[in-house]
Amino acid sequence: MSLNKKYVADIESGRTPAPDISGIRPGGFPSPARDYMKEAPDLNNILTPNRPAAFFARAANDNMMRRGIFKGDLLIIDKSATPRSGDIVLVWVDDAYTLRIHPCGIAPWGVVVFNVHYQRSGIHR
Amino acid sequence: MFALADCNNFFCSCERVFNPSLEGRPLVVLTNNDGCICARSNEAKALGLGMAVPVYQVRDILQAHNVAVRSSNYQLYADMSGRVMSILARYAPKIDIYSIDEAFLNFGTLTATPDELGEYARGMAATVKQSTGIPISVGVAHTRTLAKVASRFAKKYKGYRGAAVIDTSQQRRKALSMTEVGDVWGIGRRYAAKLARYGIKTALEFAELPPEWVKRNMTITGLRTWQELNGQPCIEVEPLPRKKSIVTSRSFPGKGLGRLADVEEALANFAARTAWKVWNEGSVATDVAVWTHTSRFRTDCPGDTISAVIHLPTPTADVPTMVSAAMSVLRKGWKGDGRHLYKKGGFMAMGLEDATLGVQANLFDNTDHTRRARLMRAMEAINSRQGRDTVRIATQGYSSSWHITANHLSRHFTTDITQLLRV
Repeated sequence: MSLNKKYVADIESGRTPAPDISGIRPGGFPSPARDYMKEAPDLNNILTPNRPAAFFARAANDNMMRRGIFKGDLLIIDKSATPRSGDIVLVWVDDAYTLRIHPCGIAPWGVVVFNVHYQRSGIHR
Repeated sequence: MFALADCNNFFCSCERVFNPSLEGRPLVVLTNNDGCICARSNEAKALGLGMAVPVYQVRDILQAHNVAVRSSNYQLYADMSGRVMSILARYAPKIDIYSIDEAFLNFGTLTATPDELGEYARGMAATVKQSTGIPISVGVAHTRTLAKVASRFAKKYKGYRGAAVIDTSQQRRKALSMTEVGDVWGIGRRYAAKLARYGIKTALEFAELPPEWVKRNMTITGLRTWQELNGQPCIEVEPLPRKKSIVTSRSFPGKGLGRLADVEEALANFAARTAWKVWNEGSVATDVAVWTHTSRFRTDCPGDTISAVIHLPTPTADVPTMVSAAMSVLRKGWKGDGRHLYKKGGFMAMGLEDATLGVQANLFDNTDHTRRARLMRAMEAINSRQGRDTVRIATQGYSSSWHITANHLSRHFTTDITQLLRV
């Protein structure tokens, strides 16, 4: 079997090279885009703007399906947030973690701010 | 002014964040192989459980009082520590992380009264608690040494509401009079014993000694501590200089390992781990030491030590080279009579130098070092994205016979997507 060498990793730099559009290749045509370049949105900043207080959890059942949370969903919890009425909160009750709607009579562990629901069939890690 | 922020019972607090049923109960966290106690909750301290005591000595107390037990979950503690430090870093222009659960904040020329700083520190502690669940105590003072003294008061007495300030000379003298000299940062057991022989028992008595005496009997370091206790800041927390040696060493579970294959696997992993630590420091090693030995406590079976130091022909951080060195020592020293159970092993890289300074080539060394460096970079690139040891030396193997016993390990709630809280 011959090796189909389509792409060679740049081992010297330790990274696979991304297309360089900064337009500074000697002898090439400078990119007209170089004054307008901006990075793609960073999901870390969007989903967990306060990283030290961001925790993940896994929905263990469909108890909150009326709020769109299903078993297996990945939940993003902000432990620093002050709960507002109607928020889905994580609470510790009867020796277990569970989801409730605030206010529920128990001091919340944190507020569920995002639910990541895999839209395809099958399990996603 | 300075602040010293110190997490309360850090390992225990981390466990409690993810299991509130551990609150208010005696709880201990154990060292590697569940051998000794390395952290105790206040309730466990009240039962008389001491620091660093072997578990087998207190098993009856643990059972009688239903003390909760956890193995060290370093992955979790390291992650939680990072969160605490990130928040603390927002509160001062300069932060020095001193250990996994302590940091010095340097407020610099911040113009605030000590009372204002105290309230500021309380707000900081409240934010850390709200955001991470970890309770901290803060000491605020004019020097780092005094801030550390203050933090002990904040931790001990609830009246300070999380932050204690030492500002006036009167507060300083009062605090020092209530602090044992051995509890002062920079004064260890040896100096404390020496000072006791001169009748010096409290930090205040020490601070009132003539400086010339201190310099003569405790060197310039002792004098700096003395100056700081007297309100003159002069100790900087300096970044660590390049390490001269790096070790990876572990005890083996149960009674020990009797098969060569198991010991080889363990040492191969210690060697690889050490090589990567050297690589990450930007260093190269000139010599390596390899050792494994039987339990020094067991008198009922034969004792043995296999150990050697190998000089590397060319200074390197190369993983295959270090693993080979470990294997050659083991195979040469292996007795093969099946009578020895090895209880501990280790690998040390020594004579570490700056890798960027250029390495003196050895005329008799046939290794292609450029090619080896490319291999290391390729392994690093893959492992950093797919996980540690995704690409490994074959002798590192995949068995867990040498893995430390951790029968009471909580999950990696914040670092492993398969071990999250289930709600």
